[in-house]
Amino acid sequence: MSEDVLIEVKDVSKYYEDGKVIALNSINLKIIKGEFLVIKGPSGSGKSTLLHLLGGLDSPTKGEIYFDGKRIKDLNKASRLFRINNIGFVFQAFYLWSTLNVLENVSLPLMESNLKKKERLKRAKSLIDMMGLTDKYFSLVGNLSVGERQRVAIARALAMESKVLLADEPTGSLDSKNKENILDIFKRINKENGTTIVMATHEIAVASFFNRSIKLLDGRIVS
Amino acid sequence: MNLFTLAFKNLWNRKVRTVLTVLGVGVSIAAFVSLIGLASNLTDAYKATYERRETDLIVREKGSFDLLSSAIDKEYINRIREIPQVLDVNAMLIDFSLMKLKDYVLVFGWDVNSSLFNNMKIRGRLPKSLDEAIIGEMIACKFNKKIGDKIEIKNSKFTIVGIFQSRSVFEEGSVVMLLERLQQIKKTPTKVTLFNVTVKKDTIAGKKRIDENKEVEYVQSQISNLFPDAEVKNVHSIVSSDNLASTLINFAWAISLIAFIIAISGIINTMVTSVLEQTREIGILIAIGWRNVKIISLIMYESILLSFLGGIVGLILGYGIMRTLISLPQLQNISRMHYDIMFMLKAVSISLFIGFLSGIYPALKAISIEPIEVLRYE
Repeated sequence: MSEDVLIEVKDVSKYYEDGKVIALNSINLKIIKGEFLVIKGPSGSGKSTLLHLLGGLDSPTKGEIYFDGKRIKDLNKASRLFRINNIGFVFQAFYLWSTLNVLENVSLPLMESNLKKKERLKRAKSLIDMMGLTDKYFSLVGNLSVGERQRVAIARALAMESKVLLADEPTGSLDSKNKENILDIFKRINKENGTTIVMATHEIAVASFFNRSIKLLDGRIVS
Repeated sequence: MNLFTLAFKNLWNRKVRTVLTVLGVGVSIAAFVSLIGLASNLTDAYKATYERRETDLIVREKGSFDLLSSAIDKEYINRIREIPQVLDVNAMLIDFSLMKLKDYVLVFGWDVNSSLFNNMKIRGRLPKSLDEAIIGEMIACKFNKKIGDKIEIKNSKFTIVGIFQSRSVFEEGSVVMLLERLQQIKKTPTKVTLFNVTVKKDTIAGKKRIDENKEVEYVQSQISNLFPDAEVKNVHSIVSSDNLASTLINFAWAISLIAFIIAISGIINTMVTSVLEQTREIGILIAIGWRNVKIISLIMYESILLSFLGGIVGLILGYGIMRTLISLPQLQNISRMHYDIMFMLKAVSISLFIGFLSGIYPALKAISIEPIEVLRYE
């Protein structure tokens, strides 16, 4: 395996309901370190499933996924902290705690770090500032707009300075201005921090922003 | 933010449920505090009584259900006095009397020269004749009596010649008259309830010096041999073996245990519901990488916080219940409010333990959540 490859997907398939539903079928994919990869495809093509597998949240029915040369399955077993330290995830539905404020939501992953309370606070605030939400530290996420919530979700995903950021339809429910903001943030993170970004989207126009894209259809890579 | 503040916020966001659960725990702790507190109060009162009197041994009728039902021959006192290691022995007759139709008071009958009168703080003087009595400070306050007033005990009138204070709540809530007079009233001219025996310390038996406990045991066995129909008890064991006191304590613990079980099931119910309602949030915590130990800690913090708050509420409620109980006519002259810091710490520790036990099942349920199921469901 080339030493630039961060994640390798080898002949991965994912079935549900005892094989009746094929979410992914014989996927082979290499993701290079520092790359910005877009996974395109219509709804139901398997994009979210693939992202969940890349993030170690689920296991393939067949095949293997390697992270930095090691099986994700083994890395997860060896340490529960593997995911939090290496992979940040921006979920399609944001999944923020509605009863917590912005600062508290962004701090959630940091509670698993070795950072002292002051340092955790400092990092959380700097991420929120990066997202342009400086005046929203103590706002409940339930009171934020969709675009603002999306940015909070991204800040949370970046909290542990992970090697990889997986984003599932991060611009799906945003207007064009907010879409552009989010994409600019991703580009900046990729360029400045060298974070490998894998983003799933059904919007073809969005896909054209990035240096590489693959297309999924009915669980297969078609281009 | 830390786990504790996160747990607190979760409880705060479900205020009604939190309050109801806290109240449930509070009631169980209040039951424990008031019942055990009262029972301990009574046993402590026993101990204080014997310490004040410097009593080492109690001699009473063998087979009597409790202290008050004993009737032993008064003549035994002379033979007990002859035992060289005995420093002092006092006869005592005990009874209860109804005053003002609803209040029961303890009545003691002591010999006129009894050393039981020693170490008493008395205003006035000791009784010298059969129609005189002294009363405890609690009785004086309660019935608004002063020296020179009359008091009626079992249809007999007595003049109050002294008012005394005592560390023992039994004594302070009592009336003391001459033994002979109480024997007349009870129509038991030759009987007493018990003898209080004080053993000489640092005696030399033969040419060998015996330590204090052994001296008491020695005298105990001497008296037992002299009087086979008498039960001789070391005061340290009398409280634990007295049927009434131990029945009370066992009853109090039994009721408290039932209350604790109810409290535990209340907290488990609340916490399991909370975990179910927060399946999404907990699933996300696991998805973003929180370890099981952190998830468990979060749930346990919530559970322990609930029960801790319940413990505090219980202490306050328990205090109120105890005050009410000791004001009941049957108890008011033989118990006193005693709410020390060690007892309160015990109650709070029990509440924390309840919280810990209750959190185990909900915590295990929380870590069994599969984040992928949460994500797929959405």
